[in-house]
Amino acid sequence: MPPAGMSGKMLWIDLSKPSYEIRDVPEEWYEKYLGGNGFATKILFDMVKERVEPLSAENPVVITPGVFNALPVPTGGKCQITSVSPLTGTFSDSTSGSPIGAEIKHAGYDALVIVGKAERPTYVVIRNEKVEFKDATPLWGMTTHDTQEEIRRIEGDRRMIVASIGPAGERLVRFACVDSDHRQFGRGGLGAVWGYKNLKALAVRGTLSVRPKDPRRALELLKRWTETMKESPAYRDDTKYGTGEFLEWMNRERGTFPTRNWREGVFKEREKIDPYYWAPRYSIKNKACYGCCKPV
Amino acid sequence: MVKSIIAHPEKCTGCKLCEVACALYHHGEVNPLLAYIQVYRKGVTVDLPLACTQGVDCGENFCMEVCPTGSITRDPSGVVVINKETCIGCRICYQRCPMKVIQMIDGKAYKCDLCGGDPQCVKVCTAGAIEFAEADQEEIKRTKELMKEVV
Repeated sequence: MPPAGMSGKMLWIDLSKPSYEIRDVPEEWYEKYLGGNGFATKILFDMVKERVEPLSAENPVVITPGVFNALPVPTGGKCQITSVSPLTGTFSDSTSGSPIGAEIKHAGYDALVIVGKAERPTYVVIRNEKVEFKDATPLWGMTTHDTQEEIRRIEGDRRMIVASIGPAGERLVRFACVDSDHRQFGRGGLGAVWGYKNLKALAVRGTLSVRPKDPRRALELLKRWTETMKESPAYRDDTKYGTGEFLEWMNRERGTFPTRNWREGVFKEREKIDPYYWAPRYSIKNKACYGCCKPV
Repeated sequence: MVKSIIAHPEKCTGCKLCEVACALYHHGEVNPLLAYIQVYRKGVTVDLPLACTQGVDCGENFCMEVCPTGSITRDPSGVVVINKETCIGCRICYQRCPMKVIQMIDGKAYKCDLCGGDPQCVKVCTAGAIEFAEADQEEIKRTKELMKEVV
């Protein structure tokens, strides 16, 4: 039995055929690897024996919602894409606060694995246990935002969550990202891996429930965390400036601000990109990752 | 005047913890399809929490008026409630609800019951985007305008 909040199932997709298979998650994985990041690492470790060409049919793309996704845990709503990066040639993961993680759980999966290369531009639609491969040729060339809106229109579902690449991923730009609901899987150029595989987008709609072990206690905890969060002065600052809150600290105290492809750790012209500068001038409103009370 | 969940969309961050809390409280599971408050998002800037106004500004679509079996009534505290025993699952209230917040679950209609007077959704919103207060006609009208773009 998988632990509460997990389904015990993984969806394996082969774009080459194309075909898909629902597999059971080995029982011991939950104890050893928990889920999310842990599963992704295990899957990649098992599948990539020595080296794999990042832009290839063999390079697996693993998509895992965090263990706390679709559960009442603020900050637990992220999703991760894991693969071999065309930028570094090695293991790479990228995290996003897109609601696609929760949607994958609502569709009944603890992990998605995509291998192969599609013959033509393709988008994959997942509705619970039903998976379809659709022609994305009319979408090829569209920006991420337009692609996602168009797929929702074609599929007739405004609440479908879509992750897609744009022209950069299509053209195999080595740092292309995958966008989903305006939140990006930005690291490692995994958008180029999708682009090489002719995977234009992944659209998910799930209708199943995710059940915490003790629903009543889980709700009480959520309410308690909400109170604590609201009363914290740090929370008030964070919600104004987001993760950019420590831009100055990273530069001045640590020298770990990626500058000129990491040739330097301090960016001397940082003043204008500091949220303390631009938030009061240009900010319209706060947006949160899925399921999290901390916006931006 | 009856109290209900009032939305302030400009503060809503789209996190959806209100939907999580509602479904969890009423059904013990996390599932937006089981939540009586619904957050609609459009583009980057619009997040619209929709909640039952308990009859304020529903007009001819007021569920209590359109139910063919008289299953929807006001309880002593003024909350609009659905009698599950007599509900026949005809879906008329579900289709007519101006806020689109009636849910059909296993063939019966469900709606916001204000959690017996202590709404849980409000308690998990750190952004202050939903409030348990008396209905504000202006706010409701603004919400309905926004709905035309988003829903």
